[in-house]
Amino acid sequence: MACHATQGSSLKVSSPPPEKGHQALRRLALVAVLAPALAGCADAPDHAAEKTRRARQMRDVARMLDAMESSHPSVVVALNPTSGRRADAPPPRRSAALRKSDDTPPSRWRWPFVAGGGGLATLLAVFMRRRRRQRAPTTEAPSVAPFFAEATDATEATEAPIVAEPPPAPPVNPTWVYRKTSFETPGLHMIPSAVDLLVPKYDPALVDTDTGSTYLRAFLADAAAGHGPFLIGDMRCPRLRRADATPSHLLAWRDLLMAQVDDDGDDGRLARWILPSLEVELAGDLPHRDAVNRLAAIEDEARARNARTTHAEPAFAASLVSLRLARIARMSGATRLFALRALAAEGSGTNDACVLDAHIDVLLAWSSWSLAATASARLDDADAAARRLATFEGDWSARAQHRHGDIRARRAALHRASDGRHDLAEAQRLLDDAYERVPDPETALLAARTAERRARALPPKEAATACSDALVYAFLAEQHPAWRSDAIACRHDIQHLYESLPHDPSPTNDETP
Amino acid sequence: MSTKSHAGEATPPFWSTRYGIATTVALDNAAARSLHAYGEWAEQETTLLSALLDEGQTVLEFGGDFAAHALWMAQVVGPLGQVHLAEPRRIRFQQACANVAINGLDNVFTHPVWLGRGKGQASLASLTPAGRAGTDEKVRIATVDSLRLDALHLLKINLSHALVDVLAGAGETVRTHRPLIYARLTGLDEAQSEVDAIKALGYRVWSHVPYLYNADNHSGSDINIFPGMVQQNVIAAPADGRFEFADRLEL
Repeated sequence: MACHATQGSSLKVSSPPPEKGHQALRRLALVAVLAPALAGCADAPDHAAEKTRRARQMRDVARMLDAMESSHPSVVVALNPTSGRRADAPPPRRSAALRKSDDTPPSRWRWPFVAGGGGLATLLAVFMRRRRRQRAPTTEAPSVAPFFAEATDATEATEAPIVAEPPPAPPVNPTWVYRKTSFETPGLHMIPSAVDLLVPKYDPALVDTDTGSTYLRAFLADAAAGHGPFLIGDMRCPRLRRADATPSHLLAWRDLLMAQVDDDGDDGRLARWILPSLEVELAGDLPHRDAVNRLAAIEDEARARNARTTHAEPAFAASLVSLRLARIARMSGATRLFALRALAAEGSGTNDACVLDAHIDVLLAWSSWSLAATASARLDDADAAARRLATFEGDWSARAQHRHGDIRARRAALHRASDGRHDLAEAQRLLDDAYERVPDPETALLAARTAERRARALPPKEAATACSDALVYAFLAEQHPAWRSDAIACRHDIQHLYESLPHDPSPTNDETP
Repeated sequence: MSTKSHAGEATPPFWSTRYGIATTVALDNAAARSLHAYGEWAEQETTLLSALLDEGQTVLEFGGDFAAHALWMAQVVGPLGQVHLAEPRRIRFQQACANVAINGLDNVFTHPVWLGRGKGQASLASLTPAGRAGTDEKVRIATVDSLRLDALHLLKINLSHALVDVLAGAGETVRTHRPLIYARLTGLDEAQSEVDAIKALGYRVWSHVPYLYNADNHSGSDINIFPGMVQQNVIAAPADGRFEFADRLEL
């Protein structure tokens, strides 16, 4: 705008009447000083249009200076495109103009000199400012984004006059800044270590003694490495998961636990809690009769250790559940049923969340060894226990939701395939919700298996969708080493199932319509 | 307390079995030999059926087998349930009653009848052609419907040559209570007609082939006196039910 105003002003004064020439020169000088000064002092934006405007402004100023130096009316008139005398006028000569200017009085020459000096000073100031700006280091890191934005500004660029600009020098050692665009791949929501109990955060509520409970966990984690065994579940009553641990790995853990088992602190409590489960795993590698005898001895030892402790363990019964279930699994006939009844009766009235969770394990095991209506009745009992579990504070509500989903999936197995679809769909919903509350790999793997079972019961198109859901959950479960082997096996099953689905032939270019 | 056998060897009057005490009987049949050698009889049958029974249920068993199965079934159904035991053979019936009595099973009811398609009397030889010589006796015949059971969850048939007639006399009971049916098939010649008789009641039938020897037997015996021997049994459930025995061969 300043540029246009300047040009307009020069046009207005280009043909002044003779009697007003003095005033016109004064105005011209004032405009010549102010306009470049304003243009030079303004903090011009760094884009092409602004640069173009500045170049044009500089060109106009140069023309004005030439016009002032000549001060020949014919030259000024020649600038007026509406004047018809341009073709007739002789070309201006600088010597003639200088001679003619000698005839003007000194008072008339004062303003042009002031204007010319001001203009030169302004030009000098602008030139120096630009030199400084070029030397000053850039504060903003280079980005590739403006290169992609050129296309969007193409319309504006074509409207602006073409000005020969020197290409910007390539920066040395650029620092690339990647800005988000709508084309980038969305990030995968992944929890790398959903349940990592081996290095727990410090929680004063869980530490009773000055020694803390992290030492044993740290040692166990070192011994477990990536193969296992692992501690999973709630921190207060963790469960043992063997994963890929060999007997030698289990024995290494047993040595660590035995060294702490008589301790009165948290390490001792943890050792006494885990040891029965570990012994069960070791006994599982023995022949049947030896295993039965060993399991009986383990239970006796665990009870004796608990009796020696100074502090009563309210959840001691829960620590023995895996042991007693292992013994029951080796029973046959009605003997197993009677033992299950006795074990279930012990945990039915508990007010401890750990014991109640273990009680659900008993009911689910009982259900798995039952058939038809009897199995369904045990699942009803487990559902009722899970509802009670949901009333406990902390993550127990999510655990209860996991249990409800598991129970529903087991219920589906009791029915015909067509009748089980609804149960599987409901189980999937419950497990989705449980994983949303607490994203642990155990729930993810169960959800993957449930989705796989759904896929087997659904028509091909819906089965493909269920397969993709199952794959996502299997992948999530695979991220935790405690569940990796099972999750990989699950993923392979899903992939085989998906490949066996009858897919619609997709149209190709080779096919004729 | 002991008794003398013919050979002069002292034998204990009772056998300690997995589910209670059993009186000593002659070892002239497989059930008696198994109770003597292993302290249990057809334990794999028990494994399956104990997964089906629950407290408060009612069971009808035809063929006592010295109450070997009644002992555990009585404990499974509990004081609110009932076990009805029908045994037509006189001595076998008394031996079963003895075992029920000495184990104090208040919820076991014994019936000295042959369960058939009508009421009356008949010689045992006419009902069981494969019976041993010299064991014939007259037996009373009754129908399942005539027992007028208030409930029935499992109908267990142990005797051969009996299944078709038992079902013929149990029409009303089966229609009313829709029990599970577990039966030992008679043999090659009659298996098809027996399975067809079950299906005619609106049932689905699955095969169950338990071995007579259980490695984890109560006595801990490693000697298999029934090498390779299995029973050809079936388990049947109402076709209109929702349950599956997915791991069994459906017939």
